[in-house]
Amino acid sequence: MTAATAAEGTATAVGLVGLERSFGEHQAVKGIDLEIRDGEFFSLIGPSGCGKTTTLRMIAGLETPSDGRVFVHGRDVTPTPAHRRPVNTVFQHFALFPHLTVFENVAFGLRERRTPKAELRARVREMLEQVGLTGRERARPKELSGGQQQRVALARSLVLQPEVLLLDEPLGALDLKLRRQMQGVLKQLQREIGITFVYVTHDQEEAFSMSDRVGIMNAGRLEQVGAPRDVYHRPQTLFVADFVGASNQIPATILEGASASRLRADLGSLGVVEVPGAAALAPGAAAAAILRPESTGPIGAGGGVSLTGRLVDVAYLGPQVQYTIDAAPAGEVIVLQGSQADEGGARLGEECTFTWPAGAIWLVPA
Amino acid sequence: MPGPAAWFTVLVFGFLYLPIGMVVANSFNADTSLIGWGGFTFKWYSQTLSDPRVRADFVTSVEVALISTAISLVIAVSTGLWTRTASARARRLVDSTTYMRIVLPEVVMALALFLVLRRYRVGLGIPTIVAGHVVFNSAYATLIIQARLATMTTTLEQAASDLGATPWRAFRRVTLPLLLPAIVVAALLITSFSFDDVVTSLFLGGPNTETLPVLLLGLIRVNVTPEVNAIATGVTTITIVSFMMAAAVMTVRGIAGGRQQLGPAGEDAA
Amino acid sequence: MIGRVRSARFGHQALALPGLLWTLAFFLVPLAVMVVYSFGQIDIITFKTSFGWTLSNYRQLNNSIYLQTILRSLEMSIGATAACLVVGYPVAYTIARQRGRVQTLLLLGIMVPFWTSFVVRTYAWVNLLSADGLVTKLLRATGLESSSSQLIYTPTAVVIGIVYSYLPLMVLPLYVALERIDPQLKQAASDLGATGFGVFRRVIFPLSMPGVIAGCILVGVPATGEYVIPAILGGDRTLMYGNVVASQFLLVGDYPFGSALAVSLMCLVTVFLIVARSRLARAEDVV
Repeated sequence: MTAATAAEGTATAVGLVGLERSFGEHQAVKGIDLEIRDGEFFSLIGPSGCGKTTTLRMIAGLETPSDGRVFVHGRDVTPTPAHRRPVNTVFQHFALFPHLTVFENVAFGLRERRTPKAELRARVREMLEQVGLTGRERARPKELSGGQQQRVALARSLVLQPEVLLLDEPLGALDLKLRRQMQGVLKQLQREIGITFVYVTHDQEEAFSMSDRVGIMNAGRLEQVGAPRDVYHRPQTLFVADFVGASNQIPATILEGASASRLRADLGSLGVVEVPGAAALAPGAAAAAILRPESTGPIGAGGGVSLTGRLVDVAYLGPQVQYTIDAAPAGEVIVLQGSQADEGGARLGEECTFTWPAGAIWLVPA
Repeated sequence: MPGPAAWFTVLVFGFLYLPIGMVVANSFNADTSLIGWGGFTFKWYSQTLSDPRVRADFVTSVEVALISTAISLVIAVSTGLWTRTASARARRLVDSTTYMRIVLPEVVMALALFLVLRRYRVGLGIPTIVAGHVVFNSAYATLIIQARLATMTTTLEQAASDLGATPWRAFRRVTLPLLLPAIVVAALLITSFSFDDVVTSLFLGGPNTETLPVLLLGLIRVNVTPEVNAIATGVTTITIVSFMMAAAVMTVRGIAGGRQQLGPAGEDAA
Repeated sequence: MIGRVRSARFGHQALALPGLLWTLAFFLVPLAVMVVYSFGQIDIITFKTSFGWTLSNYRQLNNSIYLQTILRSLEMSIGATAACLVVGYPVAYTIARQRGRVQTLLLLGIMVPFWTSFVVRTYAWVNLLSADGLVTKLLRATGLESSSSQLIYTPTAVVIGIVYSYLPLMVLPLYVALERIDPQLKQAASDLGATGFGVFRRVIFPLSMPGVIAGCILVGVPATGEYVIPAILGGDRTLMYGNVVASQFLLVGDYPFGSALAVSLMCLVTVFLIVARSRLARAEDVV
C-alpha cells in the first residue's frame, strides 16, 4: 500500500502508512499499514502488549508516532493535535468527568465548539435518548452503574458526530452478561449511525461477533486483516490460527508449493495431503497443518487425515463434548463434537479414531 | 483504667494549653503588672487596634502573605503538573530542590538571600520579604498539590483533548476544578506560614518594613507591656482560624485520600 | 517530527520554569554566593570583601569562642530533641491506644497548639519563666530553684521553649509508627512470657523506631537552626547557632565569617540528615 492509495481513497475512513512507535528501546508498534473502510465496524485484536491500544491512540492523536503517517478520509492528520482531529475516543474506563453532571459530560465537546445554547441542548437530549439515558441528565457519574457510565461515554463522543469513533476495550470493565448486552447495543448503534468504528479488544469472540473485518496484531505487527470468517478458516500465520481459536497443529513438510490453493505436503506418519494454504511455499519448507477441533468429518474423494489415539480426557462443556486423544507422533489432539442427552461414545483409555477431510485442513508456514 | 502513660498525657496537654491560655487570658486582664487578676477589660484591644504602628504592620503582613501565597500557588501548580508527566530522573531532581527548601534552616536561607541583595545593593522591603517567603512556601504548596495530583491520572485530560479542548481549556475545565480543594488547603496553610514568619521577614525587611510578628518580637525583647498580650492573641487567632479552615476543607473534600473515580474499575491501564 | 506537536511539548516543559527559575534565583544562587563568600576575607577597616580562596574563616571558627557557643547550642538541640522524645512518646502511645472519636479529638488537641503563632507560643513562656512567673514560683516552692534566680534567659528556658513549640512534630510521627504495630505482636510477646516493660522494650519500642527517627529529624533539624526561641527566651546570654550567624551579618558585618558559619551549619544539617535518613531506611526495612 502506498501513501497515494491511502490518500486518494475516499472510501477509506482511516489509513495508516508505515506507522511506528517506540518507547525508548522498546518498539511497541512496528510498521503498520492498514486501510479501514468507511462505515465499517473494524476491530483490532491481539494479546496484551501487542500494540493495539498504542495504534488506536495514534489514530486519536493522543500518542505521536515515531514514524509513519495517519490519514482520516484522505487527509494527513499526523501533524494535527488530538483536539483538532475529527475522531473521538471511548476510553477503557470511560474517563467521565467526575465533577460534571451527565448532561455536562455529554455537552463537553459541544461547549468547546461554542455550539449555541438551544442547539446544544437539543443535541444532547437527543443523544441521551438514543443511548437510553433520558431523565438522568442531572446525575453525577459516580451515581451511575457501569453500563450507564459506558453509555454516557458513548453519547459524549457520538454527539460530536466524529468521522471515526475509536473504542479502547470499552467493555472490559463490565461483567459477562452486561458485556454481551452492550455488544449488541454497540453493533446496532453503529449500523444506525453509520460511522466507522475502530474497536480494540483482546477478546476474539467479542470482536468476531461485532465486526465486519478484524485486524490481528502480534508484538507490534499486523499479522492479518480480513473478515472474521476468512481469518478463522484461512489464517495466514501460526499465531493467527492459534489466536482466533483452538487449533491442532500437525508438523508438515512442503512437497509441492507453487500454488497456494493446492499445496502438497508430507504430514509424516499421517500421509500426504493436497490442501490449500496461506501462501505459495517452496518445496522442503516447514509448515503446519491446522485441524480445527470442530471440523472432523468423513474422508471423501479429496483425501484427508485420520488420527488414532488413546482417549485421555473427556470434558462435557454443555453444548459440546471435548475429547483429548494422545495421537503420537502428532501429540495431543483436541476434538469437539455436539453433545447428546445420553452418555454415549468412547470411554477413557479406549482407542479412538477421528478424521478430517481435505476441505477441513489448512496449511500455514511454520 | 488509665495507666501512667494516660495520666502523663493529661499533664502534657495541660502543659501545652496553659501558656497560650494565659496569654489569651491576660489580654483581658486589667491588672497592668499581670501579677494577679485585675478584672475583665477590652482596653488593651482598643489600644492595640488604634495604634497606628500595629495597623500599618498588620497591613504589611497581610500584603506579604497574599502576594507570596499567590506566587507560591502558581509555582506549585505548574511544578506539580510538570512532575506528573516528567521522567523519573527529572522528577527526582526537582523533588530534591523542593525538599531542600523545606529542610534547610530558614536562617541560612534568609541570610544567603540577604547577602546577595546587599551585594547588588537591592533595597530591602516588601518585595524582598515576598521573595524569601515564596522560597519555602512554594515548596509546601508543591507537596500538597503533588499529593492531590497523584490521585488524578492524565486520562481525564486526554478525554478532554479528544473532545476538542486545547491544553489550556482542558486545564481550566477539568484539571483546575479537580485541583481546587488542594489549592484551597495549600493557600490557607501557606498564608498562615507567611503571616506568622519572623526570621525571613526580619532579615529581609530592612529598616523600613515591619510585619506584625517582627513588631511582636521587638516588643517582647524590649519591654513587655499588656498590649503585647492583645497583639499576640490577635495574631494567634488568625493562624488558628486559618489552619482550622484548612483542616475542615481537607476532611470534607478528602484531598489526598480517595482515588479519582474514572469508572467501575477505577484503574487506568493504558 | 511535526512542528505543532513539538511546540506543544515545549509548552508543557515550560511548566517547570516558574519553580526552577525562582528556586535558582532566590535559593540556589544565593547559597552558592554564600559558599564563595565563606572563602573570602574582609578588610576590617574598609569593610570591603576580597575574594581569595582561603580557609581562614573556617579556621577562625575552629579556635574561637564561637566554637564554644556553637557546641553548646548543639547540646541544647540534642537535649531538646531528647526531651521531646521522652515527653512525646507516652503521649503518642496513649493516643495510639484510643479508638475512633477519642483518638481524633486527641490528635486535634495535639495539633491546635501547633496552629498558634510561633512567636506567641514562645512568648507565652516569657511571663511564666520570669522572676515572678508561675513556673518559677512553682519550682521555688518545690525547692528546685533558689529564691533569687529566674529561669528565663537560661539554656533551660530555651530548651523548654523548643520542646513546647516542636512537641507535636515529635508526637505525630511516633503516633503513626505506633498505630501501625500489629496488636497481635504484643499478645504474642506476652504469650511467650514477656512482662509489660519487657514487651515494650523488646517489641514495641524497636518497631516504633521509624517514628522515633522521623520525629528526631523533624525536631532536631529545625532546632539546630533556631533563631526566634533563643532570641526571646535566651536573652543575650544564651545564644544558639542561628543567632550567632545572624549577628555576623546584621550586626558585625563580617560577611565572609558569617558565610563560613552558615555554610558549616548547612553541612552539619546535611550530614545529620544523610545519617538519619539511612537509619530511617534501615529501620523501615525491618518493620
